[in-house]
Amino acid sequence: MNSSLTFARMESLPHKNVCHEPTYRELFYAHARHVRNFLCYKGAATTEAEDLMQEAFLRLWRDCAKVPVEKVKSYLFAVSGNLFLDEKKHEQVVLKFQRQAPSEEATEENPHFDLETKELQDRLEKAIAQLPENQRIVFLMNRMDKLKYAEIAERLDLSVKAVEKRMHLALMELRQILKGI
Amino acid sequence: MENNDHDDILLPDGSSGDDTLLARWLAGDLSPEDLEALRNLEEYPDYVEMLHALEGMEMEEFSPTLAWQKLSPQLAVGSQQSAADMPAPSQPTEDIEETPAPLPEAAQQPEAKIVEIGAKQATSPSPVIVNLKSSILNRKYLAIAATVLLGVVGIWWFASRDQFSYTDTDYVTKAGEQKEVKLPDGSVATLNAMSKLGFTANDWKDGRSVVLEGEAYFKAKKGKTFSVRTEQGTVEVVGTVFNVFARGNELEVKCAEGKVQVINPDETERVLLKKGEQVSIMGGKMQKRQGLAFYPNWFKGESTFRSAPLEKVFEEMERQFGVVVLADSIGERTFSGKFVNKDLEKAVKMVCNPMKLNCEVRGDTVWVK
Repeated sequence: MNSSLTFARMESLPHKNVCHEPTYRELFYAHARHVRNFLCYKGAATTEAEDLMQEAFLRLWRDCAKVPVEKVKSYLFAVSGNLFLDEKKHEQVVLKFQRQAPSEEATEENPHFDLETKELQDRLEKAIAQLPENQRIVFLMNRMDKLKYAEIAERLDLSVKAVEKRMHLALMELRQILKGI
Repeated sequence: MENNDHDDILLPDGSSGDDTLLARWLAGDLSPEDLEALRNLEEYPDYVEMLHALEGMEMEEFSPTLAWQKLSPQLAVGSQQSAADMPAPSQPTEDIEETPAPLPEAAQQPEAKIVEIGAKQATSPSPVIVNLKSSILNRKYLAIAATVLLGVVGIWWFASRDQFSYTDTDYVTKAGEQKEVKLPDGSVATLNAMSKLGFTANDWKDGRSVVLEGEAYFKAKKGKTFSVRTEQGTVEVVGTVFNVFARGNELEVKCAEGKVQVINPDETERVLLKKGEQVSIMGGKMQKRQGLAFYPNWFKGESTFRSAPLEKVFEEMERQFGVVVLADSIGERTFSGKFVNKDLEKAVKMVCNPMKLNCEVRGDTVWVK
């Protein structure tokens, strides 16, 4: 069965073509996580996000002859974003994060740090869910996925300046929301 | 960065007419003066604290390898032929004959509607989607080939679904994970990474029987026949210790103690293994080998190989670490040796150094040259 062949060969990389399976596979490995996370930031639950991500990639495969490699990123984010909109109205954003102490030195310096940080993380989780969607997406793509502003701009089809503005606003907004929680 | 010219006074809320200040601060793009001004702000400590707490927050884990395994069967048919047949995307000149036009075909295939634009997303991974991809081949003989393939995929899919359809207790391991499963009679199965084991607890008394996809090491208690069913064949024992590797079209059984009977899928061939013997079934064909090439050791933190195709070695690495191995022409080379299952860098060295391969680990990917 073909699916057991999880082995990518790169001989034919020079002619980058999305329809070429190894290229497609590479694109999947490069972007699947970010697309899935993006959907979570929009408010999808993890399983839903993963299903929609898969669906977006299936469409990419179907459209592979029409999408040049350099457009794949914006294609994936646009398609998966639309799929999510089509899904249903999403009233409440429930974003859950996995936690850990930010750094070990901090705990040594201050034994109360753990508890305080945990409490702050709880509040942050709620505050992030309350951010306007545009800001939340940009903010988390930068903070969670470690994408640079230019990379976010490319994916979301925005100017770098627009990304920076949203980022700036997100930080101010977060601080305000946190004060009220 | 465009606007570095802002000597405006910062307002207490951080707004200074400069609407990207905090963003540029995070990116490390602030001039020393701006940075100084920012640090003097009353809310600056809040931001620092916030960002620090954020550093300890992560998104739920995601395994691209597992996700790919879920996705790839849905591309299966198209991937085998369409890629080769596909015109380069840069030349969308020929309209109807050559350019893949999956949508019209979708109309002929009612089920294929699930991937039409605007339609609900496909909820269950089904070979139906494969239809769409194969529809690219608008030529008679290819269509026939595709139909046959589709049938095969369908049967494979059903067969593989069927395996676990009646089990009520399933255990699944992710990449890099191993799990010890206690069976109702006290027998123990240790699952290697990316494997699935299922059984029906209710029926356990009627016959000790488990279903396996992947690799597991069994210590079966003495008693009635204990059977391990895989897509590639069945393993039957009375009470013994043995390893089963069932992936792709391959089944490999190693007998570590006692006696093990292995039966091919259509039950036309069976072989009895004694301690230290192994058999492999490749695409239904049996090959018995005297003398255990090595004692399975993966559950002790090492993956061991004896004259194994490099490709298989790297596949195991992908499963043990949840990484992707991109290899450029490793050809038919074989590998004897082992790698550790906990430390990726070390594991890569253990394989690449003796093979004189130039390997590099970058994040989730291992590049092999």
